[in-house]
Amino acid sequence: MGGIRITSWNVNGIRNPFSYQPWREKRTFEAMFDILEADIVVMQETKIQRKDLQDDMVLVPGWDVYFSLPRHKKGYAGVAIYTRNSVCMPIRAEEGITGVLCPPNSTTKFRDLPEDQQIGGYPQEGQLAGDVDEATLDSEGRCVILEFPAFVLIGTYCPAARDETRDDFRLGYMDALDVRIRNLIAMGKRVILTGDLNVIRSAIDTAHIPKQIRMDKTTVEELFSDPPRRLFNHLLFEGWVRGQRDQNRENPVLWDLGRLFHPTREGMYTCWDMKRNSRPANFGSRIDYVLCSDTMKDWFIDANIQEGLMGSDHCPVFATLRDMVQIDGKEVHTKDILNPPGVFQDGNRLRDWTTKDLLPMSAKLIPEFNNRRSIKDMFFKKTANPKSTSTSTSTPTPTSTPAPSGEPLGDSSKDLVGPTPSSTSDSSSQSGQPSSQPVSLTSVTSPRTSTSSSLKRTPSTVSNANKPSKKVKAALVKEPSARGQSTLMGFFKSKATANSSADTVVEDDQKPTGNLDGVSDTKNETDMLGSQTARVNDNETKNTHPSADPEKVFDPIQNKESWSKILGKRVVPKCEHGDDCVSLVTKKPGVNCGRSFFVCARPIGPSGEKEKGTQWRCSTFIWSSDWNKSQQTT
Amino acid sequence: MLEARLNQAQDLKKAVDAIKDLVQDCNFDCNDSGIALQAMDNSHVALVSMMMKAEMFSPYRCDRNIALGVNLVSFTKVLRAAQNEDVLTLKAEDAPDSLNLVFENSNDRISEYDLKLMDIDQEHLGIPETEYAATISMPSAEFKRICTDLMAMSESVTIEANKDGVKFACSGDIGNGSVTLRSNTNVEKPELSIDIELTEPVSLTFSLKYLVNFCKAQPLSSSVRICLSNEVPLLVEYGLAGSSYLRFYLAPKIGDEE
Repeated sequence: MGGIRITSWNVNGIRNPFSYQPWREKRTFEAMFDILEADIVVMQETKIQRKDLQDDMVLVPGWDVYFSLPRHKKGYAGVAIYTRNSVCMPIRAEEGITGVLCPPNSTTKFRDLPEDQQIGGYPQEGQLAGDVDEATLDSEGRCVILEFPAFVLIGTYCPAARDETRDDFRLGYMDALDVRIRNLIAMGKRVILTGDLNVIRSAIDTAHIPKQIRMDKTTVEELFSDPPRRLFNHLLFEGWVRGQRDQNRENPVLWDLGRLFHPTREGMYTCWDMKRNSRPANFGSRIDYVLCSDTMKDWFIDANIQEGLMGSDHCPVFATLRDMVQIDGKEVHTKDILNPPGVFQDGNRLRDWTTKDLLPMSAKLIPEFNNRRSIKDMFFKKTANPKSTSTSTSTPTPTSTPAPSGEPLGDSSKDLVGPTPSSTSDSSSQSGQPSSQPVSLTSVTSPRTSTSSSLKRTPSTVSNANKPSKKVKAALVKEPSARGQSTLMGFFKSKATANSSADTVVEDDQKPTGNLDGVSDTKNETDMLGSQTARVNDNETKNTHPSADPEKVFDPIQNKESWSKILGKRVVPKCEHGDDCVSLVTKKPGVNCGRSFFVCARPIGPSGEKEKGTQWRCSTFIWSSDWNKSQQTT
Repeated sequence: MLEARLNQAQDLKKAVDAIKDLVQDCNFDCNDSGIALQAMDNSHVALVSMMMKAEMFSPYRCDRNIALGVNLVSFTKVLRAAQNEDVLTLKAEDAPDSLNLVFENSNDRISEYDLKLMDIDQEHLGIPETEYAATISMPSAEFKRICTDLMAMSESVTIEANKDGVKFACSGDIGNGSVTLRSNTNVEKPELSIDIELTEPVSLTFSLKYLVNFCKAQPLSSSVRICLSNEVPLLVEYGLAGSSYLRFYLAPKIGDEE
């Protein structure tokens, strides 16, 4: 299936997916994008700081990337758009939705650039209703905008509904998004809006509705009249708006592609609560979208979610463009209009991508990554060399180069040192070379390759793959010890109880021995009575030996039991399924904050509630303190 | 069978310390002439080449060619257990699974460690002997200071050598700066001399991040040799005992003008 795919994924940390299959296999972005079969990847919540950007995320072979990272908050939000150079090449790139930010190494705002250098459609004075100023709206690394000749692509991470303090910011951001999109469309540009918009469109897009209606004593109409959802529905064709439409939003402008291709599909969710483990039962919401403007509605052959792909609390969503699209009644190759003029014609590439095509916003131009040159390209590669030498020494085949190592080395040095006249002076310097450094290298190198053929040295990627498993092991080992630590309090307590019970035991059984007394006792025994074995036997079986000091007596069995209580495997309660419960800690502020409790370990069911008599999480709930008490009494 | 005894553990400690941030895993290739190491950093911008000749050790014995695949972070952990003045002995079988290290101090304290080895498939680059346009010898502490000082200003430095001297210049967001050195001979302390040999003027730009990284080798030697030529990687060389060396190569940044 051809087509050009635009994928959006809230990755919840740019490296996060690499902990999951299938991404953990190769752990490269190139491989990830190939598995996604994507040509444009919009990532949200990269949660990375500029200083932490690494080679592997910026210098992805065959891809270019544009970041929008928060100005102040560290390891928060962040949007990245990756574009496949062989398929598309934007003509302009911007960061932020309002245009108040500046391009790299410039103090001119995007909105103040000459018209032919800007994407346009910036909110004009009076267009934005909210109190939050534009610089603040764009300070959190939430938006990258790319312009292709065919359309403007807005990749964004809308603020989540967290608490009242963020409501103004959230609504302000969505308002700015709405205004910018409407302005762009009014300019005659096509728009694709994609990303984690953190808003549900209608009742079919979330599993949370029944509970919310019950808890808040509200109605579906009420729920979708709350300002962000109402605003979002204003944007969308077939969006539901209660009562009169708002001023300046008289018309819808975007199609919800996921819904367009799956109009009645239920449970089409893209985000789940990881803490409640609600993904297995698909108790989630659809808040990630690919939306497009009306004039390109028919350009798409497919749009869907990829709920089966793990790696984040969101799943990827995508929309696929046709290879040929209609513009003003004319068939056009999509690639022609996804690249600057002159790069593609009739779907055929006219010229190759070069570093000169990089836009100022490209992350590859960040000084750290810019103008990189590989030392490999500068030094002659030796890998092929030992092979040819070994073959030529063993069997002088006419096909292989007759001169073993001298010539290729000489050639390369000639190329490399070309500009300096002194070094290229004559061939004697070439013939002289092998005697010095290169020879010492070959002598070191060639045995290595010989061992490699015999031992089949495993590639370094394998050793890398081993590392994480080691880490996992360490983590596993750590956990029990941490548990052991937490019961140190229990140790003091149980010692007291052990003492008191030991007293009773002494009275009942008369079974004294212990670390100190045991030693002294046996000493006495051997010294005074001689018949060692008999006496020990006596001591163990008949327990007639009177203890010297009852307060210092330790019962070995008691001792062992109390130690095993501390160090042994903790007994956890069973849930209704008969499975072990998991221990969690109350995070909700209040009297119970910080208390730990046990609940059923299974994922939450499709109802979003604990369920009775189903395979999903049952209603077992036990405070740890209650459980510990009950354990001690039994 | 490899057996190599170093009179001062610090020679190896410092060398491994200097390269461990650049390279994670690499082979120590041992043969009768000594122990060699060649490795590129992950981004393939820099290359480390170390040669510890047999003369550095007493005794030194290596009958066959042995590649010791070592994780440098793990190696550092083991070497940390050695005091600088300890006598260090490296031992390995012919096809080793582990490298044996023995540290002895003057009080007859003997500690022994086995470091597990790994299979590393490494690319070897042939480094051609090059006549450089400019060769600068200077105190290693001076070079380190220049790099760290300029690092505060910018991500990259332009090293320009001409008949007047050598100039390290950079410009960044907060401003620009430069350090110029001229040849000078210190008779009393020759290691403090600055010597510039020039066959033609040269000017190249390099990433300071890497240069600062190279400077971690400063404790190994009181002086450093810096060699530059157009279209050739920069060479930064720290001499070890005898004719052994630790060399760093760095690919220059591609010039803006093209």
